Amino acid sequence: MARTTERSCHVPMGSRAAALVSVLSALGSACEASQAQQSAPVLVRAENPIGVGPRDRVIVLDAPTGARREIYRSEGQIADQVAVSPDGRYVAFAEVVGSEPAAEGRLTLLALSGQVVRTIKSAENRGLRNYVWCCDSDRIAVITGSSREDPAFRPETLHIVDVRTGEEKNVESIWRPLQAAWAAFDSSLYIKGAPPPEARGKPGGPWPVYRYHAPSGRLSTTTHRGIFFSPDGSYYFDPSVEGAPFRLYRTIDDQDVTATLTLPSEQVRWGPEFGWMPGADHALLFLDRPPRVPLRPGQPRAPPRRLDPNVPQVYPDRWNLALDAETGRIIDRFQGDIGAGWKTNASALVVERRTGVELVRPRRR
Amino acid sequence: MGTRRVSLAGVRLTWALPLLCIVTQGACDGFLGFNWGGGPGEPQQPPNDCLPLGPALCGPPWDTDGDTISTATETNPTNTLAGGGFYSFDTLKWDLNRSIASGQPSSGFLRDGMNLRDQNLGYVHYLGNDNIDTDDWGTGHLLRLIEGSGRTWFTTVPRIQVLDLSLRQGGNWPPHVSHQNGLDVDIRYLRKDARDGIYDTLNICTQGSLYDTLATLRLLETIVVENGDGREGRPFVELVFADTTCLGIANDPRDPFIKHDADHRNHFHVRILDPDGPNN
Repeated sequence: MARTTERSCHVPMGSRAAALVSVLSALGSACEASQAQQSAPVLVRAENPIGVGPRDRVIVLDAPTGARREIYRSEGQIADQVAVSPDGRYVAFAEVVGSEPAAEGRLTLLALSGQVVRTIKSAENRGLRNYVWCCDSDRIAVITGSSREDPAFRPETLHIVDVRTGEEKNVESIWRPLQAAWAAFDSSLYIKGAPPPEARGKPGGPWPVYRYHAPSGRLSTTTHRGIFFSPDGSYYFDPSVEGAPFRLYRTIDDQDVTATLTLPSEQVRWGPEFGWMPGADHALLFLDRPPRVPLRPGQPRAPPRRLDPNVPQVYPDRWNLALDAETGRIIDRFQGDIGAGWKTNASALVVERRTGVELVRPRRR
Repeated sequence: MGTRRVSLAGVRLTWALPLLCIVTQGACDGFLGFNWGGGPGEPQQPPNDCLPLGPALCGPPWDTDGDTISTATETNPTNTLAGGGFYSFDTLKWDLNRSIASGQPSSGFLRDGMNLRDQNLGYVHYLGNDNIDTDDWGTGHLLRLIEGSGRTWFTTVPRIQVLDLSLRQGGNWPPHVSHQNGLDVDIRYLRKDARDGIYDTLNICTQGSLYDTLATLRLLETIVVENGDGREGRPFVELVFADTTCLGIANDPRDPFIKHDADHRNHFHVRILDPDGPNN
């Protein structure tokens, strides 16, 4: 197994004296060259001031100066991690403000300066279900609909919102769009919908996948089984949801190639914890951990335990694996937390280590 | 008269052996206790009927005939053939649990499922935007888990708030990916204010100040450790899906039943191991 060669560009980081921001290139090119290729990569995350508990602020880690800058303080809670627009100008996140029964959910679209550019509010029985930057840096796809516990059912709908003007375009003819993912390689938004209403109560089959081609605005059905495409588009996966096993497919013929992955089956079943490696052609990112053997009926169970609420859930010491989807083999193993919530517009992976936060570019083969 | 005397003696003998078996809870060869309800290793036919021993000798008050199908389920009119169900239960006889989880939770269906009572000791079932008795069908083992957990929990407030199980015959049920074959149930997290009304929903990632982590931990112990260990006829909880970034609870590495799923913020999802095996 080859180890990624890393070269670091150290940048001081304001309040975190020991932290570094380094741009790593396995191509062996100089840091300066990497930075020039990727002008001003943005590093953003939503966090809590002590690292635990509800997130209520958005922090920008400024690569040139290394400073941490708070650009937004929520009056409520930020529900998810942020999503950075492809050009790095905007940050989107869901937040809930106010207290019940008047709590309000909304999608906030923020410029990096901290200015709120737009908010998309949830309406009764029409909450925010999903969102993803798409089409270009000024547009975001938003799915809204009722939840299972809303008193009235409203099927989900998909809108593409122009961040600057607020103009909304409905993408129609999809029954209950539930997942959406942007595929830059063919300028399309892929959408997974629910089976039609007449399929309710019937034995399960594949759920339809649609392609919305952004330049033409044309919507078509596909033969695909999932929507999460590799950066080069040659593979896609259908994630494990509620225990349904993860599946990896080859795009050209929709062939299931999951069995080629050289990891224990129990690990493959749950799929890559961190999806595709940004900037790589088709490498999947798994946590490197020993397989956990589930208990069998009759064995005494071990009670769960409460996590210490004062300990941040950051894991800089853990190891990760990159698997090539084509060969199924492990092509890299590296240390650091890649699930710490940092988001970037760069084609690189953000890794939090004991030495700081680093942008890691994949090694090319 | 002589004929009658012989007959009564035979009846006494017929009663005596099962009674001994029941009292000794499985001390007799071939008698597997009360857990004959269709699971792996369980007899598919009841070894005898409860009558005429009388309910007091057959099972606890919540299962008078001791057949592991609760009296509440047996008397639930929705489970009768006339009520749209699949059974003709008799609370004084051992009934056969014919429910089968067919296929997989994400691609299967439910045969001869049972309908959960909307409210009973320790739990309440909420419909959300479903119609009554459309969203709360499961295998007998899943109902055993919910009802058993409710009995363990019933002195505690708030009640266990049960959401979706499966449709009457299972199958596709978007936006659920699973819930197709009677092995899955959604349950709300618990609030610090102990409210459990129909609109008292809780999102643990956006309403963290209302989330009672310790009470939810106790609830998970009740469901998984005390009622879902697969012993003595209890079902076996295979998985619990929850958003672990906000849950504040971790499982023991030796018993990794909690799985992260970001879509489980306003409820957690419990799945039992398929009691009739995966190949049907």
